[in-house]
Amino acid sequence: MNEPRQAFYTSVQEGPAGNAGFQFVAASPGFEPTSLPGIERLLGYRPPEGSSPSPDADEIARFPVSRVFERLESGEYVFILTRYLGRDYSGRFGNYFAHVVAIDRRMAPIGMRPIDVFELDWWRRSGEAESRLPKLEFPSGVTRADWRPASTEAQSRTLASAIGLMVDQKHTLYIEDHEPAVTNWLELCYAVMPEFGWWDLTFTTYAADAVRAPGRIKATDPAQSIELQAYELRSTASLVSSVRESSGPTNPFGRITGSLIAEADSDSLDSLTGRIRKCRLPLTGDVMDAIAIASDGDPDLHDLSEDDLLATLQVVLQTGDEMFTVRHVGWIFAKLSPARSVDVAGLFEESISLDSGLAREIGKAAFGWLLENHDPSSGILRTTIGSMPAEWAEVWLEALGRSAPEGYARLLDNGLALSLATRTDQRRDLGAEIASGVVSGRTSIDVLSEVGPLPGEVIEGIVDFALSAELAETATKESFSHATVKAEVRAQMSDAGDIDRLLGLWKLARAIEVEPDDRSMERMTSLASSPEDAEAVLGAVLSSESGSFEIRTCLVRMCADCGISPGQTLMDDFEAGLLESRPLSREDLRELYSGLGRAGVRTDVGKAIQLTGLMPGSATDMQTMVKNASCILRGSTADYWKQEVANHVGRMAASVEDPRGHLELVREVSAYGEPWLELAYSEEMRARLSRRKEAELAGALIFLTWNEPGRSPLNAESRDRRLMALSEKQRSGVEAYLSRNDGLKWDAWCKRNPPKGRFARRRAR
Amino acid sequence: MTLRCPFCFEAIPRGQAAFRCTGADPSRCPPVADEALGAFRRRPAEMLPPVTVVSRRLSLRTSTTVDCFQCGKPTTKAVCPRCHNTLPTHFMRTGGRSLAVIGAKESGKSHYVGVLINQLMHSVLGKYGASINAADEYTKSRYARDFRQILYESNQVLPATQSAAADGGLHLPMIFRLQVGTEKQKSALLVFFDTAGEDFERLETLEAEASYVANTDATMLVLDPLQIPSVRDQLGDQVVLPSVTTDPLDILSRTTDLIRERTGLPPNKRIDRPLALSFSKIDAIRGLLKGSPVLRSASHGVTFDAGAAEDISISMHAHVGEWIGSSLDQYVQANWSNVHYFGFSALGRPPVGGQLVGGVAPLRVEDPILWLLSQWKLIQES
Repeated sequence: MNEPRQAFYTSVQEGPAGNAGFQFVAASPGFEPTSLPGIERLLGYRPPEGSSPSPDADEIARFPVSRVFERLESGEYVFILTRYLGRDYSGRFGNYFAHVVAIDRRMAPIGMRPIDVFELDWWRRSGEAESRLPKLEFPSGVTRADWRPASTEAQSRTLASAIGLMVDQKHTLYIEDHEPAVTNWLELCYAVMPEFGWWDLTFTTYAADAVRAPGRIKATDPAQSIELQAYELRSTASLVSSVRESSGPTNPFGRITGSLIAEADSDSLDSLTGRIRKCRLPLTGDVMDAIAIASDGDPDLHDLSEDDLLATLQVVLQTGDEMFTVRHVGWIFAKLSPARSVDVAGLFEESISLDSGLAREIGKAAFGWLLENHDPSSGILRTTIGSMPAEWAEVWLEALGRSAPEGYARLLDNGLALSLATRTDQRRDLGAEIASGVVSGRTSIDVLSEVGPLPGEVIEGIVDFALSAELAETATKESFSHATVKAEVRAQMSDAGDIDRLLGLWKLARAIEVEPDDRSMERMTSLASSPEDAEAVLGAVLSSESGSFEIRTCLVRMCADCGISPGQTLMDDFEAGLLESRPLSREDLRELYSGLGRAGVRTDVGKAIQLTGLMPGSATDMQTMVKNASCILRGSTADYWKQEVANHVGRMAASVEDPRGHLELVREVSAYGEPWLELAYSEEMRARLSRRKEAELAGALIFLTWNEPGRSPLNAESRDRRLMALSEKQRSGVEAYLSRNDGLKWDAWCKRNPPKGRFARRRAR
Repeated sequence: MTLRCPFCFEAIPRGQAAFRCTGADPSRCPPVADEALGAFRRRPAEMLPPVTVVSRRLSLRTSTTVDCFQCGKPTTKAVCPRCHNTLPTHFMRTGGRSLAVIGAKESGKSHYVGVLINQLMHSVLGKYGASINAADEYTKSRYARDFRQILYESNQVLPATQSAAADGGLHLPMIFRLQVGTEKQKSALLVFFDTAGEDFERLETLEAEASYVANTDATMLVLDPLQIPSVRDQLGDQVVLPSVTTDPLDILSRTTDLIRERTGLPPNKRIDRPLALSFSKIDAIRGLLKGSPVLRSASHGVTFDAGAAEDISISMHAHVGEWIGSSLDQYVQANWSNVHYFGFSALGRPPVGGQLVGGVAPLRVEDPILWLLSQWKLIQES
């Protein structure tokens, strides 16, 4: 295809195929517009609203000429010039003449804009020449008269705003105006568009129904009054109209380019279009605004709002483009009012992935701005820092330490530096710095509460600092009475593996009113390995008001282990505690009384037995007493002490008649074969128990053996069978035991002693 | 009854409905490229508020609102699930009845539609206890601008209808709401398609109109007696004759073929939708219709007078045979099962130089539509 192809379209009585009506009446050889999808639908003309249905020639001459520029799916560009003709062959109105030209873009000389094509001398404007197609040739170069906008500045601004929006993808610009103002608008559009975008700026200069017309710029006669609302286009279309004069500037791109156009500042316009061309981002409204602002560079000139500035900042961050410099960043922050709430953290977050040096500069500038304009105790700084990502926290800390030590100190004292540091690896150091601030009184411990959850390293740092020698002297209760610190101290006390540190922690805990838990004290006594350690622990613990019976137990044990005397006070307290407490466990007794009987240890047997809490009154008491006594005896080496205990137990046992208590005694005797107990039992017991009771005891022994805990209780049948197997003497003993003990009636006994363990499971099955 | 979108004429699946967001805040509900509407308009997709399609049983009849899937705001703006054109209010509930008016160039189709609607609005339907009004803004403004203003205010003839192939590549229908009765009200949407004569003369341009011509509920073929050679001969110089002649059989056979092709109707079956064969401009051929009941002025009662309509149909049928011969009648009988003949004059007298001297004085324009309304059981028949 070497030259433009063309066709004429109008309504005739008899066209090339013999039909009447609208049709292509002439076409370049081989050019069949009807077979080119998309061309025919671009055709059409309706006179402007309100014009006479039967206009005369003068009126028709005043009707707007419609110029349509559109790109076809085939990639060709089509230009259509349509003029209203009035009557058709049948005398009815509605006829028009359209001259269609389709070209390959490469045919057009460089620098030619689509709108210039309509200025060529190609166009046939009436049906007169309809059978003869003109010869179409592009000129060798473009000679365009220097165009200067004839519109007002307000109009320029409005249009430029619209263009800013239009560059946004798929946005449509509607123009409501008369010719030649429409052409003027179009010229404006081309003036602010970079050359590479010219051939994307498709348009219709007149259509009665602009909304349905092709092109991204659609113009219509003001009489049509485009109601964007009605067509649901309000969010994606903008409207310019000299008839409905727009009152003022809208977006920065509009204002800045508008004034550039009005001032005919072609250098600035060139610079602007150059930047647009270089921009790698999608040309959204915000991006266009930012580019315009960056091109102009002086925010004071254009009365930019803070929203505009911040939007620009966003773009700067997104691009990291060389068109934006530190200078731009500087004046953006210079213009922001202190009261402005800026989501600085959010801004940075967006830019992190870019890894742009400029983004770091913005970080520093923004931080400087925040520090300068906001008191560290105010919420803005706190919120911003609170949401700062780690990468930026580092940037800020670095910037502060180097260039703004004063600001850093202020932040430090307000805990904000700590908040920042929580996201970096400078945590522990900062913890110490904060702690020193706390000790020196510069920083309030309450600040820590406001910082939010503190990372472990920081708290550890604070505790380390608190444990250091300097602090030991100066730490006050107020300085570190902070829930997080307390919790850390408490945790460390139960974990510490070093007796010295534990003692330090113990001291700190007391200072900040942390109640030492038993576990930590227990650890302390268990860690003490020398008499010196034990003394230190005793000193620390006994000087405190705390110290439960359990702790005293541990202390006594520690003293025994380390070979020092627990001292009168401790022992008195300890034994008093013992007397108050319930029977001790077997293990406790064994440990506590292993030393009894040794030289220097009190030998008050009555007291010792009392310490077991056993003044037996029932069989159960007696059983416990016997068990405890066995423990004491096993841990003791002194025979006289054993004798004392045995005698005491014997006396106590004699007062108990329930054979089950004696049974326990009998078991201990048989299990360990202690001669003293045998003696005590046989002599004392036998004296106390009648023959009948003796037989009963034997029967009880038999019965209870049958029904030992953990075994399935015998049923009546089994019991009888077993009774039958016993000797006469044994049987009468068992029966006597059963009949004497109402509470041990067989059925009731079974009920009280439900089967356990595998028996229960078996029964359940 | 299958519900068909009055724009794209695709059947709307039962139980499916679609709504366009009407949330006013584009930042909360950003517009999206509407490919479906773009395809219908044969244009690049425009950015529009999003469409939420719901599929649930009975949604058509019970649900008139849905929450936008994107922003959650409730919307009541129903659109076609296929082409995304905004449907008239209550369309999903009442459905529509559509009529395609076809015919040769200059046969009087647009005048028929323009005058008919005015007659229905202002004089005819009241007697049947019915009323009609525009169902959407487009219809309202287009009827006012392109018909009423020209015919009734400027007393001018209408301009030639532009080809559907041009003019944006599609014709939009005019949609009116018909309401019958007061207590137990029946309601239906009447969808009118006015076509350009030349679109029926070429196969490629017929394609532009094909979707609705093939799918409307009724077809009206307007026959211009002044384009029939034998009538022209008989009239001689008495009237101003149209500049062209077209064989009406050409148009009807193209339409018939199109309907058969699009609906898959086998050749041995006849098309059962109503076909109104209507002669226009009967004022100009009064001399040839002497004694015909079509020249009597209509008298409307509370019911449709089927007997009178039958008389007219027989009379006009006889004239067709006389003027055209039996070919048209044979073709019609072979392909259409429900045919009625009518005669009307939209303007009442021939225009002089494009001027309607004395205004519009229609004659029997309402007959075809009343017959169709009775066929659709919207008005009663006597």
